[in-house]
Amino acid sequence: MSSNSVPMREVAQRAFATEFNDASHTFKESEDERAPVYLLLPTGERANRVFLVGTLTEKEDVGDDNEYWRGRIVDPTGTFFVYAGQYQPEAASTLRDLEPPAYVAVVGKPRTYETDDGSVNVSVRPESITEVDAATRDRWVVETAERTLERVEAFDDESNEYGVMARERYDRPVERYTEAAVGALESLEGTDELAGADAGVDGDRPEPEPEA
Amino acid sequence: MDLDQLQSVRDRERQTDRLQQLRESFYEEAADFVADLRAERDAAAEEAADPFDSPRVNRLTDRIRTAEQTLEAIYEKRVGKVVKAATFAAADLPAEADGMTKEEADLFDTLVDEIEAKLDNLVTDYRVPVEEARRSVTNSYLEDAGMERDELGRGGSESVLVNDIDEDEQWVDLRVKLVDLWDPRSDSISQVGLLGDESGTIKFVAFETSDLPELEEGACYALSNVVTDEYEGRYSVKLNRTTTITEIDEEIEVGDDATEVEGALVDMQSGSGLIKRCPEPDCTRVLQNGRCSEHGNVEGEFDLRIKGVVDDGREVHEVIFDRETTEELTGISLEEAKDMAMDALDTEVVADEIRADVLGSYYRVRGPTFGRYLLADEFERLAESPDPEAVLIKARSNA
Repeated sequence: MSSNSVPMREVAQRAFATEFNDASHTFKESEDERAPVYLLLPTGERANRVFLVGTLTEKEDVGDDNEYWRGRIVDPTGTFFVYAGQYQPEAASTLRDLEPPAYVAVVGKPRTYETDDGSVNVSVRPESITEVDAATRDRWVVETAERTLERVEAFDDESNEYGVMARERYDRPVERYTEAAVGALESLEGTDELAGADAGVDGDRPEPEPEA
Repeated sequence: MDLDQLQSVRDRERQTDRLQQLRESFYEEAADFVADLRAERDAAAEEAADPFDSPRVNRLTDRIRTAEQTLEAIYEKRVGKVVKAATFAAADLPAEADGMTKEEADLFDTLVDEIEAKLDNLVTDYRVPVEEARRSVTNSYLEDAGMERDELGRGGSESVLVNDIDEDEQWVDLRVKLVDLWDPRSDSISQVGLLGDESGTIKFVAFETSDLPELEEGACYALSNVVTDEYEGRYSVKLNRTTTITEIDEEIEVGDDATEVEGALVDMQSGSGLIKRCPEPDCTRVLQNGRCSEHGNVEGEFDLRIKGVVDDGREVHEVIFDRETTEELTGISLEEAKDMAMDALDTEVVADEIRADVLGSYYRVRGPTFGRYLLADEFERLAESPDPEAVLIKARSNA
């Protein structure tokens, strides 16, 4: 709304793992070398930063000479991959110290890389990782469902340039993300008291312990 | 048309400062109505044995008198408003010329032309300051219309704080800082944005036709003769051709009504945790490497604060927690923070500890905003699991 001279920090987008992992297209909005790189979310929004809360189910130091930690963070729809190395010392040391399973909140930048078979993988380069409680995870699920629904609703608006861009780049009906949101919310229902009993679709992860 | 209708028009006209919408032909119809009553009375008088003692004739006489008095009251009240609208229009302010009858619309046009000509005459030929010219011209018209100046609102030069503005169409003076300029949505608007003083902020609009000097963001001004406006309970001020703008060499601190934000605390900025402030009286600047940007190397005084970022996935808010709220948020007192720093020989440990404790959690924060920051007067950690039901219902209906 304002023409403030101080550039405003970018919003941390909320997307479930299934949508985040479906994204592959990145772009810049100016020629400037230091211009932010955006990941195009399939529901039609640009993401330069994301905020996610889930269950850290595994962590592994995959680095050769230097520490390079990979964490698997699970939400009700899938798995986020988080990589932290020497340039993210705080996040790396948090990953080193955390004992999975644990609820964690991550603020970070989306990163993409092309695999040998030509497909694009998406991960998160964390600015911060903190341990949180089950209620925070639940709140994130509800909030992320809300934001997802809002994006799907605005997807076909003519003025929504990122909706147009997503239609060009991704050949997927956006309804699947509404369904993912429904599934995520249903996984919270009736589990309020046993928060932590995730009804996720990600098969190969251990069940997290309920919060004490 | 009947008497009840006339009286309720009169009552409505008295209740508000605005012209109520009347048909163009309202006065014509009213005149017909009175003429009909007179004809009816004449007929009744002819039929009556003694017209001066006929109950029917007397009743009709009463009704005619009442109708005429009511009409006069309506007319007087409305003419005052038409004059007022004309003085607005002559000052290039949007005036409400809707809902006037044919006669009133003609009067309005004539008045606007006249007032403009007189203003121009006073200002251009006699070098009378615009403000003074406007007052005198307006006064003479109001006298003609039998109105007191006060009926137009306050005298025209009352100094007020922006947050005290609670009436439409008042002429007021302000001492304000230009907080923010927005992009005008219409070609007729030259500038639109936010003015602020200690009491809060208010929207302002300046119109192209007023030919005013451009205001600059961050500068402070004495604005004389601006007009208040109200839309859906929110007030704004309009600058106009008679507004005088004087830049003033004083820093106006802008306060704001408390706002409330909710979201995840996604970042803590540098300058958070255990900090040192300049001990000079009234300075309190935060030291960078032991230096105050104003007073140089000083023996700083410890303080605690958090400069945080609250983000709900739609908007970002920068929030400052002072010592008191930081202690409440983290459970770490200033003394404990000093001990922690002493043990580690590093003040950063305090920020690290706080970061691990608060980042990623959800908060509701309330307080006034100063510039880009919201000052946390009150806050609440959202520690309960939310009920997904409402969102689930919406999601299912969209699925």
